[in-house]
Amino acid sequence: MRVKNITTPFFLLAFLSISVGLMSQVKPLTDSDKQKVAAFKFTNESQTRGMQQYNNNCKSCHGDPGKKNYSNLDPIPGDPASAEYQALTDGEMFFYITNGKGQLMPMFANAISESQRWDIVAYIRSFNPNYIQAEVQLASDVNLSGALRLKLDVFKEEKRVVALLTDSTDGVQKPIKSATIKLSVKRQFGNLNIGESQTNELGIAIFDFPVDIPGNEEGLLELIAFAGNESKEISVSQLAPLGLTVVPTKLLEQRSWFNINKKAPLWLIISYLSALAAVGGILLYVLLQLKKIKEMNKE
Amino acid sequence: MEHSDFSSKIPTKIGEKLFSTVNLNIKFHIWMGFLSVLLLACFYAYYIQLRDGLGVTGIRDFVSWGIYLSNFVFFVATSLVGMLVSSVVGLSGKKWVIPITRIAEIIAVAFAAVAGLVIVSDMGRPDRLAYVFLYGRFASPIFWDVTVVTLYFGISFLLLYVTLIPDLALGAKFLKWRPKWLLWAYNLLSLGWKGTEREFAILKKSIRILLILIIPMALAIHTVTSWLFAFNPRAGWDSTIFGPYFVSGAFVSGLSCLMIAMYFFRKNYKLEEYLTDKLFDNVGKLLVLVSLVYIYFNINELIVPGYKLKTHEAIHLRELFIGHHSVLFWSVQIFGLIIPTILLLFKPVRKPFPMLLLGVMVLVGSWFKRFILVVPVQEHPYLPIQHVPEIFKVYTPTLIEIMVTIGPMVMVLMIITVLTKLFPVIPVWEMAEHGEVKENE
Ligand code: HEC
Repeated sequence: MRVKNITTPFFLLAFLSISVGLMSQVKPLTDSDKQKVAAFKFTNESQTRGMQQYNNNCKSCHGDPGKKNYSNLDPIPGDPASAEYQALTDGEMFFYITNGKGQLMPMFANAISESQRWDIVAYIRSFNPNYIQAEVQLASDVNLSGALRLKLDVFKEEKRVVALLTDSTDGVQKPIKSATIKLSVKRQFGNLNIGESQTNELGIAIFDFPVDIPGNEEGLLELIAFAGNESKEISVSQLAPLGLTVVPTKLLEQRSWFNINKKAPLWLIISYLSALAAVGGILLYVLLQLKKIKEMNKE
Repeated sequence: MEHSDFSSKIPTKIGEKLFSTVNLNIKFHIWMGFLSVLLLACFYAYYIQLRDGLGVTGIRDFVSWGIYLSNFVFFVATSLVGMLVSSVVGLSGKKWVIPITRIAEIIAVAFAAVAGLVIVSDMGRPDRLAYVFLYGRFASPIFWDVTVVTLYFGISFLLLYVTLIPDLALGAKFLKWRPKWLLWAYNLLSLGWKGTEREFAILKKSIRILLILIIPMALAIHTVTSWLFAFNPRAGWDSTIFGPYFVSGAFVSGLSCLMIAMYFFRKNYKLEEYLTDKLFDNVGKLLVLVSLVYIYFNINELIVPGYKLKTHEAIHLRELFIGHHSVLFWSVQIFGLIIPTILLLFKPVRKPFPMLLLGVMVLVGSWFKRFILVVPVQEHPYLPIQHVPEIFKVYTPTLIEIMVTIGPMVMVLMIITVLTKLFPVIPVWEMAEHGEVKENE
């Protein structure tokens, strides 16, 4: 299939990057990361939202942008308003916020949502008068009106999910570009969000899948991918072998505290009954002694 | 009637004196009549509770263990005095306790017998009591509690009876003018005791076995009772020292109860020769000892969470120290424990009358201490209490509840009265055996 053809060389690279990643413990920056752009226009509102997030999550180390009052760490966190920082592409900035950097800069992938991370980028950019945001195709502008098809390919070894979004209105599958796809996993109570990703020219969005999500006895998880806007939406769900193998041990099936008598811990039953027997036995013995006295006196 | 040589071995003076209290006189009848009327009133209160449900009490969803449960803990605690006096002190060879062993045993039997009933009063469906035995679980502390309370009562009762047997045989000689049925019962229960050496050997062995057995049993009964709380993760109950904490507290309340009883029997039964000043002095010292141990546990139990101040422990301690329960808490600690202990350090205080007063203070303190242990913890659970009527938040016992709580106390008094009126309160044969128990070292 087309998708696989495109992704094969990518996975060679991925293999490499995983082994490098294991060495440095931090994900390496790729070109596609660098070129990543926000899916919305930076506005005053997004900057204000970004400021709040920044103050909550970043200020303790990076200080107030433009004031150079960052913490004295080694390496220094640096001032986000500085030229160095502003030289980063939006994609790079987003990447570091998402995945962290070096030993000190923490990763925020699981702490702040994707759009909030872009809000922070918007806020940091507000200190750069020369900044012009790259042309974005807004997710809301993506035409999702045709006969949509969303297909997931799962790469178990690489822990990667690739989504392909196409429109086959005229009988030919045409990729849909710049659409946001959300991936989540079905859990007991609701869906666990895995991430969002934009489709590229080929209608492909790629997700790195966490390695530590518990699955069922076979390690299967139910993936749910979603794309859509106000006018149209599509979602698919599919079982994928991406989870940890979890064989649930049912507490009530084994002997344990809080179980019915038939399944109470043996040591407990034995202790209880033997203590009871011992005390009962001693009492019986004393009673027999009394009987002996009585019989002695009958004669 | 030919009495065996056994009764002739008992000095007439001791026998007549000690049996003179076995006497169902008019005072006894008036007192029992009064208690019966009171008990009937309590039964009526319980009837209302049965008819209308536990809603007539102050217990609600949050404080679901009110004064019934604290009363239960108090009863179990007080019953431990039997084990302390007869076993711990008695087995250690101290002869001075002989005159009070039977009183202690009677207190133990009375409180243990009624403790079970106190629990029943807390049950919404007492008709399902048998389910505890039919469907009880080995893993349930309630199940152990029922087991040990029953066994402890059985052992205490047996011990009381076994130590009574020789005295029962003496009845024929010393109870001449008492009702026929009483003599008949004495005769029947005495198992035809003749006082031979072999009999004594068997008897003493049995007593010894029971005295030893009762020690682990008494520890079990109160440790398990403490586990009803400590097996719970709630702030205030979540403690590893509740077992010894409860046991030491039990000795305090039991001994204070014994002190009051001693004073009462000394005065009313005219037993000054037997329940001597020296005896009071010794019991006073014993109370100081157990109180110091208890104070030690109290300090430990409060200072350890107080230093760490984990959120919920802090809320609990605040309520105790300066909050809603602070007046009760500090009164209990100061007047029910610290002041009596300090006063009892002084010899002039260890006299019958001051000890009666201190005994009352300690006993009342002990009752309210159980309240402090049981109730406040439930008023601040881990999950916030929301959208409930005010009476759900703060527990206040109702009149009916108080009556139902007084009921068991009346029963205890009745049991003690009957037992001490039907049988000599001081073991006659042991007193004879050890002479007029010499002053102890
Ligand atoms: C624990 C302190 C700490 C926090 C919190 C922190 N950072 Fe950093 N950050 C650092 C340090 C230290 C570096 C430099 C890392 C290095 O170069 O190895 C850094 C580097 C970065 C970089 C890369 C700079 C470059 O030149 O490559 C960016 C972008 C960044 N931080 C943004 C943020 C944002 C946005 C937040 C809040 C969401 C944040 N940081 C929170 C300590 C922190």
